Amino acid sequence: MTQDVEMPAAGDSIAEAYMFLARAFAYPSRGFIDLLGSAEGARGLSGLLASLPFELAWSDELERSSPWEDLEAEYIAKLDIGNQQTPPCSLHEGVIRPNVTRVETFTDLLRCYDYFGIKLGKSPRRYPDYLGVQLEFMAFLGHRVTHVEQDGGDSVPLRRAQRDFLERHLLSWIPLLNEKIEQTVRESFYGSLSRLLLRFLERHHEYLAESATDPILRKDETCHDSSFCSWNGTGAPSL
Amino acid sequence: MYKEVTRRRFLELAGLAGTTAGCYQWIAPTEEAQTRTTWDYRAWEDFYRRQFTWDKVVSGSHASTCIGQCAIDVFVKDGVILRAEQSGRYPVRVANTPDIGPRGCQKGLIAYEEHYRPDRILYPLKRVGERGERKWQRISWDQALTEIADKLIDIIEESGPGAIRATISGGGAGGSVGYTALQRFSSLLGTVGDYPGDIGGDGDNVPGQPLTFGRPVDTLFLQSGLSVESWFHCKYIMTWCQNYVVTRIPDVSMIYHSRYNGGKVVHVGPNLSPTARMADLWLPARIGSDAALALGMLNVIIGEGLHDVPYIREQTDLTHLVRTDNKKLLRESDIRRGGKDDGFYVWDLESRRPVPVDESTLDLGSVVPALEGAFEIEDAGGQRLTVRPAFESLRGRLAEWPLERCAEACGLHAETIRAVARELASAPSAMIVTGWNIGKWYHALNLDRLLNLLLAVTGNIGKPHSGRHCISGSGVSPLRNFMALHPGKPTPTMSAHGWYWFAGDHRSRAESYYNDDREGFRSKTGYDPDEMHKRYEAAIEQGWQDAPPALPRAWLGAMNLFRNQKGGPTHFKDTFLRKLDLFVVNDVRMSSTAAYADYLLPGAFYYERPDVVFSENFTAVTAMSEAMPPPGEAKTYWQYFRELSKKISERAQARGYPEYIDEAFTDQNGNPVIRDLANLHRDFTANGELETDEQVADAFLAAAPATENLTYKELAEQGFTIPQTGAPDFIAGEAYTPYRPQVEKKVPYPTYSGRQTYYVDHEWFLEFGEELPTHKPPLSNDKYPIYFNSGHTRVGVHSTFRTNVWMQRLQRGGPYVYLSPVDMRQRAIADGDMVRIYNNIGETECMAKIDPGLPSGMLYQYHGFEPYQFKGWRNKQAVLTTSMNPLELVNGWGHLKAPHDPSEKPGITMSPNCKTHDVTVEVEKI
Repeated sequence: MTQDVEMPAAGDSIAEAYMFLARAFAYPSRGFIDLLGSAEGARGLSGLLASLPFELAWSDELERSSPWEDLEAEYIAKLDIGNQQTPPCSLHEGVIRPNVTRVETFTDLLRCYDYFGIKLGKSPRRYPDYLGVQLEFMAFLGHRVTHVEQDGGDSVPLRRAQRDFLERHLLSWIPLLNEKIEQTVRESFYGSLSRLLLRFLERHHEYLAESATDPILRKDETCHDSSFCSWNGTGAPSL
Repeated sequence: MYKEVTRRRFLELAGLAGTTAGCYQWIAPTEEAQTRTTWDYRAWEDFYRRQFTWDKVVSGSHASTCIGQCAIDVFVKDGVILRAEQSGRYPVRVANTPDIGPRGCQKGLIAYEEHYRPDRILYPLKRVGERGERKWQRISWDQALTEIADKLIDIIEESGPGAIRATISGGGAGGSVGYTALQRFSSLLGTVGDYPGDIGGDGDNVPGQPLTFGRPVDTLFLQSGLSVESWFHCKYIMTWCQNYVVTRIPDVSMIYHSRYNGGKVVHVGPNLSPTARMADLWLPARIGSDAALALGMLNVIIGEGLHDVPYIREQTDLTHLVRTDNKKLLRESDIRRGGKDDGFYVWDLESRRPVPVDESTLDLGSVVPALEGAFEIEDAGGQRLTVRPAFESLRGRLAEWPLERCAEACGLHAETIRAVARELASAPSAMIVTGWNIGKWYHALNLDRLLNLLLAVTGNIGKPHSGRHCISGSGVSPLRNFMALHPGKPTPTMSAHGWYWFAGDHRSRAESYYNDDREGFRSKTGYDPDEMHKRYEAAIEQGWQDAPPALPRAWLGAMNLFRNQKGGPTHFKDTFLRKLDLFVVNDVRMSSTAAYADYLLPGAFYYERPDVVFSENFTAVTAMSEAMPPPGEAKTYWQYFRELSKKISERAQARGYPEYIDEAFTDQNGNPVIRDLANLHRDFTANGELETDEQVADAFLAAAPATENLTYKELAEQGFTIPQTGAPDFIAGEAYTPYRPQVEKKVPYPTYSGRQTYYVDHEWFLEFGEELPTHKPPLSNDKYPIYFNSGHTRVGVHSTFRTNVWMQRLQRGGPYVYLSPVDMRQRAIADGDMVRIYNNIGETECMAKIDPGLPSGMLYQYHGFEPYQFKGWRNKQAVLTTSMNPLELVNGWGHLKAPHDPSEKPGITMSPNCKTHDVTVEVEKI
């Protein structure tokens, strides 16, 4: 049952997509993964992506390729805890990014979160560079965009913050993570999900530049902090 | 326009409906952030324009087994530690001593980053593949504890609680609260535990200390030593088989400084170690020959009359009369019908007759005990007996080891030995510093006793700034605190080494290794390899040692077992693990042992929980603090055992199996001990008084005079405290030297005769010719020419920190071994080559590194590498085995009390020590 209705606010639809991705990369729940692999899930995801204020071409299926037990074990081994020392596709920026220490990453992130009044959740506790934390932070900014616009305020600072955060953090490590997942993870669900994440981040970044009336958000004026921003606008991190 | 219903329905199904503020899982926006409508962000530089402030600065420490337990200030922002500094607040505890602060090392300073390890265990994991396959499923704590509790009850019902071993190390769970959790759980449930203070599982017991001195002065470990201030004031320090520059970084400065205080530092060790390099004199005694060097020095000291006769007469048992017919000490029962078996005699030179040793004081009064001569007396049956002071026996022993023979055995020039012996004898104060190295030799007891003897004959034990330093020298021990929180129920106790000898099939591994060279083994011991086990069984039969109470079925541990146990994972998975129905690991990271767990439970790390730790060389008690919450669902060790106790209680009640009658033990009324499973939680928490870690820390501090005036909160606020009271011989404001009351107040030692014990007339000691210590060659397999030697590294505390990225950058990052240039040349091995190290029981591979400071016939590998860092997970343990020295099994002689001896007399239980340094290997280039 569907019906045509008015689009949600851009900020909210973007926030929903970030929340969805945060949820999808969290520890897998069978109900959620099976939903994504179902026709209903595919339609729903398609609807979610269609609600975005920018076009996101996406045709992959988010269907698991292995038995549930194997998917869960592989998530633990490859993405979350690992078999020894480091999971190859750690969902932590400070583990994946080269040339920046974990603590430097934490410091930059905590300064950023602190600026926007964000604390880390208490339970369950994860570190500031965890993917879920970063995606939820972007969702928060999205929600604030809607809130501010509905209040008649100026959302440019928030969109600017989204742009900077993408460049300084998410787009500086997700391409690498995506590469590692493609190379290492057998379960096709995470390959597809990782491509979707990367594509979404890139499109969101482009959208922020394209839709900007504020010159600061023009595409050619990206973040140039060499210590943190390794993203070079090409979709591949500078190493 | 688009299809809204599908989207909404999808979000509902995905649990993402209503994705507005307040729905976040990982972040928590402040109220102000959620309502604000004006934002002034211009660019990322804005983050850095604001003055950065810390939410708090907390004093923390580490429950690792490094024993430094330094106070570290950690700086916290939003519950995340971003910086650590050594505390600069340590006071100068003893006047005229340099400032020891700030204490710490590189490991302490990166400890906070170790909390963020990428392989941090975040939630309970259940194995769904084969053991070691590392195929996991996340489960809830409730499911994990329910399944573990049910399995434990099954095992108790079928095999008794003695089939369960609960154990702990310092990786993450250690500390006083952590150990208290283990102790209470183990005691109440009746699982196998270690002897208090026993650290023999890793070969860390120093067996000559309890034998010579009785129970050392209130230390946690069965060892004793001098505080760092004594190191500074000591005038002659011998670091013997000890690598203090690497292993005691927070404290070693006091040895450096002593040289600017008129002191001299002499190092004894086969290789030019970092500690040898800082010494004034290095004595490169041949590996395994240290006892010969000590005998040579004794020869010089006594031969030249440099020994301290009054001290020997007063403080040692070397005056005690020994029968020449059977080498037994002369006892009152020998010369008087109905006389005591533990009454000893000296020959009084004044009255010219045997005089009973006064057990109440060391004050000799008018008695002048003879050190030399042979005397005739009449026994209880009227027969003539010839007796001689034990000192005469010592002279006899030294006659077997003339200086030249000693020099030949240890590879040092006789005149060098002579010079050092003279220096030691004439030094105003002297100490011999050893660590956890010598205990790992088969003949450790000989060397340890000889080092004590060297100091005794020169009058250097119990005098300020003089004595043996064996690890623990703060003068303040948590042992009293621990005992106060002990629930009091007896439990089967076995040295870890003893338990794994059976449970871990160390016996068969040792026999395999030594059967390969039976003749060599026999020539060094006088018996065949299988005699080691026969002696163990005999010791059990005699009641000197506990037997394993049952076949092992469950192991609950917070330690990296496969890293430290001989044989390593390749041996243990085919032996030990096959016996177990349940293998539960609590850890903070995916260690090589965690990888094999049936259930892997996430633990809280050092800066995530309250606890109390004791420095072993510096007199301080330090707080561990919850500077930040643990990640994921990690729990403290106390919380884990509290919840497990609760679950066992619930399940025991639900299953109608409320108690287990433990026939192995009886209570004060002679009735079997009841293991009250249904009320385990009540008893574990002491009726709810010990629910939280803070409550346990408070109770722990209140339990002993050294800490009773502080609450945990007060301790945490100030970071650490310098106790003003401690062991009976602790003197506030003075450098700690053990056994001063014995010298200054003539208080007897807690030993068989009240004196330092050097002559042991136990039948096994006599049988092996070790009634007095001697030198015997190492117990090697002579088919392999190179000793595998190993010690603590400066870039890890065992395997903790060993895989930390910063620590790996300080070395090669992966396993390597040091080889001597001679051995490398003979085998065409170049620096950087990969080599295979092997013997008849296994092999390991790693990179070779040249060390010109190593003698031929010895390789060196700093320990602590994870097995998973090696090909096939074959770490050094793959080529190592242990052995079993029968003399370390002896109890029931004087102050060596049998386990569970109900008598009130002071004493200590000897337990076998893990032996690895005797093992030899061959090396080849791959």
